[in-house]
Amino acid sequence: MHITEERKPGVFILGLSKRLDGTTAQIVEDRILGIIDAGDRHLVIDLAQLEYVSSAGLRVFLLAAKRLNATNGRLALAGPTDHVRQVFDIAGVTSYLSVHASRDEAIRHVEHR
Amino acid sequence: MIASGIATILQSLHKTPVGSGYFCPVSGGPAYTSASILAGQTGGLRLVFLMTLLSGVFEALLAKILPRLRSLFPPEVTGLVVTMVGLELVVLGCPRFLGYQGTAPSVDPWATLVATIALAAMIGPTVWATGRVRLYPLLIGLAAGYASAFVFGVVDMAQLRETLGAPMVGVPYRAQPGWAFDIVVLPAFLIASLASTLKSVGDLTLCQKINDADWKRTDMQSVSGGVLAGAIGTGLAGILGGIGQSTFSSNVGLSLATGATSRSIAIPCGILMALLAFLPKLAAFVAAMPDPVMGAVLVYVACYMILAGIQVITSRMLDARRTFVVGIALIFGLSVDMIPGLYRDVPGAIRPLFASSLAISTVLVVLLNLLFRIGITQRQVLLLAPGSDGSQAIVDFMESHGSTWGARPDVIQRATAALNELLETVTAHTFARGPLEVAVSFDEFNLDADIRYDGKLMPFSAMRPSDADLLDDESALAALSGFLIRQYADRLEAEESRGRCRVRLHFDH
Repeated sequence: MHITEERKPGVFILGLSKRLDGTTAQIVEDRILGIIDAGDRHLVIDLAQLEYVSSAGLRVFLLAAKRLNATNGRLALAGPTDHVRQVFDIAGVTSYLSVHASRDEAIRHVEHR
Repeated sequence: MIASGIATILQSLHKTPVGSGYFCPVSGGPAYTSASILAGQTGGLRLVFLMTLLSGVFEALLAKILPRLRSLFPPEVTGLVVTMVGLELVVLGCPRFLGYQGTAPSVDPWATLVATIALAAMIGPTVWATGRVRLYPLLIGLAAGYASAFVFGVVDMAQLRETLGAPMVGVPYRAQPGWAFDIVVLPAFLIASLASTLKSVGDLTLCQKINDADWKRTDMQSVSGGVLAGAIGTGLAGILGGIGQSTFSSNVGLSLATGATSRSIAIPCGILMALLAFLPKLAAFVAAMPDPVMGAVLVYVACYMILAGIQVITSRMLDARRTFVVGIALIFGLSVDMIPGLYRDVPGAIRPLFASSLAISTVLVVLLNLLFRIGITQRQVLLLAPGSDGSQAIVDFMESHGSTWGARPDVIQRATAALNELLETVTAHTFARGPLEVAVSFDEFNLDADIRYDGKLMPFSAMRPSDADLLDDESALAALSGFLIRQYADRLEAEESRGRCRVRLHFDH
């Protein structure tokens, strides 16, 4: 798992690559909670380089969405690969998570609530 | 023409022993040209006609055993045949496109201009038009081609005079009555029949693919009926005084390009083909198509055939075996046209095999596929220790064996995801007390994973746990994992007996 971070005015962009599964989920969860605790409320997670997500990874996204919703913040997931999108659909989480085809679309979504 | 027309109609018959159920015109097969020339030189037309009739019988026998030979025609084999059919059109089309007559100068600028206009007139509606205009790019291209051929003087006046002088109506006749037999030319015709049959397998596979968005594999029963229709056409041609018949690949490419695939087109098409035998002036007009216009049509169709064949080849995972099966057949097939005269000293009896890139490549790809099946085992076992990062081992295992088996990538991906979920969950929640034994078996229709371990059976819920449960209850994550596995697999069975757990996952292929 390789994590990239970028800050734009009012938006924190976290990029994940390779695999988000049982062995890497805790690392990502800790980082996301750290970002939220530091005061960022608009978070975009770029999934364009993420090849695989398991149930453990889905839980991390749900946890992040819940924590941000509780503080009037917003989470958007951007550019999932076909496989990752399929996992979201199978797991039925797209009604709870905001998933967008591109990073720019996700950024516009979190900025304009 | 009469034999072609009848065979074209028979080809379209649906749910009958004869016919594939697709619009796939039949015409004089290039696979038979070399053998027919050999027979003509050896014993005259009487020999050609009888050998053609016997070829039809042989093809009919091949048609009957084709469904049992499904394993000989995986997608990489049929895809290569389709690709080679398209590449053969390059040899026919490019010289005509450029006005090359075999002498210097090699390129005729006026012929090239006419061909370019015709090709542009075909491509334009295909790419940019909407509605019914998209169905007629060929007609539009032909009209533009004929018109520009007259304007720029690229018309064979001798052939035009012959067309104008031909009678409007005439009765077709057999060039020479009677029959003759010579066993010396029999191998040539058997090889031609085999090459024609393999070509038909490729053409009919493409017909199936373009008519079915969910196409996964060749329906050999339909192909068998289609080859039988061609065999009847060949036999009829022998009786009536023609040459062996085969599926008309360029027309399959046209169907692909225009979307005109309905089998109902076959009846008027077949009737028109048969009628042309009685309308010599009309037949001569069609035959007098300017070469550059013909070249433009062939280039247009070749684009679709070549790419469609490549799509079929790459619809399955490819490993080193499949790479060599396709690569060697492609290379030696291309050598026929890239190095003219290379096979000129081959004995006459087997010369039809080397007469075209299609013939040699199709025979090679079938034989190589058989050869490289040696050593493939349809069942493989992987041992995974819980607590270790077995996810990469699962990915490598499934990709490696999926390629060897020629499995569909999407099915391997689902199976890999399911196995990863299972390993992750039995490890994270300590369901397994020891290693996991994963046995995966494959055939063309089924991928099955049989997982066994000592410990406690993980849950495989049919209901997704709620978001609230997922965030507050640790056990809900295992339930989500089991739910995902159940969604990935087409069938799941799980049991536990005296501490020994067994999970069987089935994936339709």
